[in-house]
Amino acid sequence: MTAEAFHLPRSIAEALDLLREHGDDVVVMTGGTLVMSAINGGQLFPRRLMSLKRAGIDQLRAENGRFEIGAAVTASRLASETDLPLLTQAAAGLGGPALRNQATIGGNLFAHAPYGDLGVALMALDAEVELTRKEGARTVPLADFFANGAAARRPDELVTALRVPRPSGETAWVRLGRRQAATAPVATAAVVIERDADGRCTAARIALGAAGPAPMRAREAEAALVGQPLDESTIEAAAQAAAIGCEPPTDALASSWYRQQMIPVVVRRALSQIAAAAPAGR
Amino acid sequence: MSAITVSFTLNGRATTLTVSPATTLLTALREHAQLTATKAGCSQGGCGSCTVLVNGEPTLACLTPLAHVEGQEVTTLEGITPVGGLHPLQKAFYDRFAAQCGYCTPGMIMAAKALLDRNPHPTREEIAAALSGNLCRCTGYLPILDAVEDVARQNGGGER
Repeated sequence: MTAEAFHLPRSIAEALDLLREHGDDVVVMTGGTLVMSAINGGQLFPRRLMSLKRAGIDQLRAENGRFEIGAAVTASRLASETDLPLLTQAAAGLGGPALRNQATIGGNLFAHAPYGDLGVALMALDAEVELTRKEGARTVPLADFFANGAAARRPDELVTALRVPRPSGETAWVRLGRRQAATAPVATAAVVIERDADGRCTAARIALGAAGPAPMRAREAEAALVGQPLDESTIEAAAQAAAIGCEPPTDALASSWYRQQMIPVVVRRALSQIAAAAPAGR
Repeated sequence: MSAITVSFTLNGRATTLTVSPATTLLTALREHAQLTATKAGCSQGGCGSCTVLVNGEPTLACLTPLAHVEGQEVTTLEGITPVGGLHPLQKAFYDRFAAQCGYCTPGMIMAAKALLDRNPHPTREEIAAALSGNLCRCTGYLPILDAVEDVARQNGGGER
């Protein structure tokens, strides 16, 4: 079956009308890197395609220390036009230069594991996602969006923007791949740590990629850090705790078992990077 | 049969193609415009052999719906090859034996051209980064890096 129509709405209002009119018949894309590869691979046979590429959601604004990033902003632009740690690192490591010109921040939230590094960075940054339907927009924490799976988005809603606060603590991004560029991750860790004057962790956010069906927070590892100095034994305890509850995918690059072994490795490396840097404010 | 009509600039010429709605730029180029320099490799965005320029930026034709290039400027290897001659990158690839089977070459050259247009004097590391989305299974990459470096040097670059 070949698709009957390709819709290229010029506004979100038009896109929402099309979504309401055609419902499940329409497959939504922006850059096309996920949807077109699934079509090419014979895994997806949409009746209708709708691209948000020209729907006017590609603005990128910084205000009051927060970034408001339209869902159609590409990875190339994230890497060159924002200075948010973790997110720029994730964007710069996505595929190759041509893919980064196409892949978008909104689309990447729908990547199947082990892909989806932008979501990992965004989750560690405590980002919120804006979902828009005809009646208006709502904002949900990205952690809830991922935790709720397919139920996170109502059928008549579109992801239109991400809101990302600038992190107040120290950050580390560690992505383990089978090669350095243009490859899916074996395991990814994005870490934000806040420490007090004595060097004890007062807050920790650790997000993992390729560790389950969607990016996830390593809550047990975070709990192992809070109140502790960032020394070797704390780091080891957090690294081991990070693997709890993970169900990594198997693909041609790595088995689920291997990914499971690598989760403590990327978390340990990320925490060690932060520990090795001078504590903030001293 | 439903169809869409897309008008764009292809290698400097106004072009209009009528295709089925989900047709990729890659299929449109090869099967509708009869421009077969652009190669179909993995069709998953993993190999870079379909790399073309859209408004001067390297783009994977296999993942680009033709509908996305409405009103845009598309450049393929055919578009940079002078009649009866070779583009400096093509000449350098030839001189350096940077192609064996040649399947990756059009994508490599277009990715390299995008880099040199933006940065005429790249370092070897910058060249490697610009070509990091393009796989070659024959050459081991070193002759390709050498070829692009040669052209960067002809551009009046430094000693590198």
